[in-house]
Amino acid sequence: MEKIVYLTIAIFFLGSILSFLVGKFTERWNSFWVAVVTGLIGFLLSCYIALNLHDGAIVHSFEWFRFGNYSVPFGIYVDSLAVIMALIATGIGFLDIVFSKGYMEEDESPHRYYFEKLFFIGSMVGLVFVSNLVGLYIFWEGVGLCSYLLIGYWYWKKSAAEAALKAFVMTRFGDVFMLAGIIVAWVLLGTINFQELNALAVAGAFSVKLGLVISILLFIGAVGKSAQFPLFPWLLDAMEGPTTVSALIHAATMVNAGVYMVARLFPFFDYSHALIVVAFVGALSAFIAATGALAHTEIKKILAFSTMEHLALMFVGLGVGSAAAGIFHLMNHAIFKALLFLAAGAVIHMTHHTKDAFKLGGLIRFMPQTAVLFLIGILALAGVPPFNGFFSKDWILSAVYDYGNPVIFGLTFVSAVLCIAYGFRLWFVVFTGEPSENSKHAREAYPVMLIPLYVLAAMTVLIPFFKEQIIHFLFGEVHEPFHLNLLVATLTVMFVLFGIVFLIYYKRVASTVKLLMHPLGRGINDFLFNGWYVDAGIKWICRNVFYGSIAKAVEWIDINVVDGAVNGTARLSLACWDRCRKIQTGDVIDYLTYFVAGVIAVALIILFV
Amino acid sequence: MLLEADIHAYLFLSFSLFAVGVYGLLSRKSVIRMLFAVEMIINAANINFVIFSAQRNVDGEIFTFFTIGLAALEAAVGLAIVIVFYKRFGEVIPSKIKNLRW
Repeated sequence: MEKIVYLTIAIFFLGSILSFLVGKFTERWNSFWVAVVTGLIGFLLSCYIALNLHDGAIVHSFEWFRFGNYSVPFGIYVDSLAVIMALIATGIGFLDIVFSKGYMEEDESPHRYYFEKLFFIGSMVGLVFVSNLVGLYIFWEGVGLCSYLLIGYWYWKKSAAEAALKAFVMTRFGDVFMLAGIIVAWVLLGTINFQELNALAVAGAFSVKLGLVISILLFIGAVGKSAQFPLFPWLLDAMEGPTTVSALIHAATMVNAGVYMVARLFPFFDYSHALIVVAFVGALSAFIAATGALAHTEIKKILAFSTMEHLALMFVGLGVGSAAAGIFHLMNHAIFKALLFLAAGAVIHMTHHTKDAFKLGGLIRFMPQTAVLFLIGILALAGVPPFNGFFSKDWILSAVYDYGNPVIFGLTFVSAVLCIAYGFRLWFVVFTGEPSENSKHAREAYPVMLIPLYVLAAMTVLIPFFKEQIIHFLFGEVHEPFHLNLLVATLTVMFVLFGIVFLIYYKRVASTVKLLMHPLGRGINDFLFNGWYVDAGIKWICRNVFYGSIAKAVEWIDINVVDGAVNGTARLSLACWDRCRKIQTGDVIDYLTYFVAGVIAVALIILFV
Repeated sequence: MLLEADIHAYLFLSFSLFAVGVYGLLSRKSVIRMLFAVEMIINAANINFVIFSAQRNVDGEIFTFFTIGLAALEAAVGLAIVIVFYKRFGEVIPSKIKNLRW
C-alpha cells in the first residue's frame, strides 16, 4: 500500500517534467493533455488510498541520510486527515487544470504553466503524506517555490514580479521561525515524527514551557503560510498571478498547509497551551479580513480577504479545541472558494481582464450560467443553510460559543456574519445593474470552464448529505455542539445584513458615495481597504528597524572596521613612503652628508659600546 | 722609534687633515674642489700608515706608495668624469643637477 502512496507523490513530479518536455518539443498545448492525464491518475490513486484506508493508517519510514548522531528519517503517515487533504489537492487541482485550458487560451507558454502547476500539486500531496517535520518542511518550501513562480507567472509585469517576491520573502520570514521550532524539537525532544511528538505530549514527557516555545515557533510558520495577522499582505498582492493559480494555490490548497500542520500536531499544541494563541490570532485576522473585504473594490482581492477570513475561522475552530470543525470547514472552504475564484476567473477572462468590480455590472444578462454558479459560491461562502459553508461555519461558531471567551466569540461572530454582506455586495455589483462598457462585450464562458464550475457547485450542495460519514471517517465519534439561540441569532443578523446590502447595491435606494465623501468615512474606508495598514506597518518596520538600524550598523562596521583595516594598512605604508622619500633629494652633497654621519655613528658605536 | 707622546701629536695632525678634508668635501660646491678634499683625506690615511709603521717597527709605509698611485688614478678618472660632466650639463656644481631623482 505504501508503494501506491509514494507513487501518488512521484507521479506528479514525473508528470510535471513530462508535460514540460512534451510542450517544449511538440505542439505547446500538448502539455495540457499530459497534465490532465497526470491529474486524473493522481486523483484516482488518492481515491484508491482513501477507499482502502479502513484498516488504519499507512505507516512507512526509512533512514534518508545520517550526519553525526542524527539520523534523518523520511517516511509517510497516511491517515484519514492526510487523505482528505490529498483528495482536495488532487481533485481541485484536476478541475483547475481543466479550467486553465479555457482561461489560459491566449498564453504563450502553457508547458511552463503546467509544469509549475503539477509540481505544486505533487509538493502539496507530499506535504500532507509525510510523517515528520523535516519532510513537511521540504514540501512546505516546495509549495512556496511554486507559489512564487506562479504569482510571478507574468514576470514581465512589474507588479507581478514584485508580488511574487513579496510572497516569497514574507512566507520565508515565517518559515525561519518554523525551522527554528523544528530544530528545537529535534534537539530537545529527540524526535520530529508527528505521532511521536503527539504521543510525548499526551504522556506529558516534557515541560509545558518547552512545548509552548516549539508550538509558537511552528505556528509563526503557519501564520506566514496561511496568511494570518500580521503576515497576510502577501496574499492580497498574490492576486497578481493568473486567477486559476489564485483558485488552486491561494484559496484551496497551499494556504491550508498551516491549518493542516496545526491540526496534525493538535495534541501537541493542546498540551502546550498554544491553542489560545492560535484562537486569538485567528479571531483578529478574521475580523481584519472580513472588514477589509467589505471595503475593497477588486473582485480577486475581495475573495483574497475572504480566503484569509475563512482560514482564520479554521484557526479559531482549532484554537477553541474543535479540530473536527476546523478541518470540516477547511474542506468546505476549499470547494466553495475554488468555485468562487474560478467563476471570478471566467468573469475576468470574458471581460478582457477587468479586475475592478465597480467597472463591471449587469453581467447576468451576458453570462447567466456563470452568474448562477457564482451565486451558489456566494451562498456557500455566506453560510446560507442548504449549502456546505453553513454547516461547518455554524459548527465553528457553536464551538467558540462553548469556549466562552467573549473577545474571540465577538470577533468571530462579526466576521462570520459579514461574509453575506461582502459576498452579496460583490455579486450585486458585478452581475446586476446597468451593464458598463467593459461588460457589454462579454459572452458566456466556454464549456471547458463551466464543467469544473458545475462539478464544484454540485459538491457544495452534496457535501452536507455526507457530512456524518465524512466526520466519522475523519475523527470517529465527535460531539457536535448545537445552540438553537445562536443559530437563530446568526441567521437573523445575516438576514438583516443581506437586506441592507440588497437595498444599497441592488435597489440603490441609498448610496455610499456621500459617506465616502466625508473625511471620517473616507478614513475608515481607507483603513479597512488597506488591511488596517499592516502592509505599511511592515514596510515601516523593514525600513526603519531592519534597514534603518541593523543594516545601517552592519554597513557602518563593514565600511569602518573591515574596509578600514584594509585601507588603513595601505594608507599607513603610503604615509611612511611619503616621509621617507623626502631624504632622497638627488643632491650628491646630501648623500655624502648621510654617509659621513653614518660613518661617525658607526665609529661612536665601536668606541663606546 | 717614536715615543708615545709624539704619536699623539702626529695622530692629531692626521685627524686634522682628515677633518679638513671631510669639511671641504661637504662644503665645497665645485666638483674639482671636492676632488682636492678627497686627496686630503687620502693623505691623512697615508700619514697614519707612516706613523704606525715607525712606532711598531713594521714595513707598513710601503702601502703609502700604493695609495699615492691609487690617488693619482682616482684624480685621472675623476677629472675625466668632470670633463664629461661639464660637456653634458655646462657646469660642475652637483647640487644643481638632480637628474637621478625623478
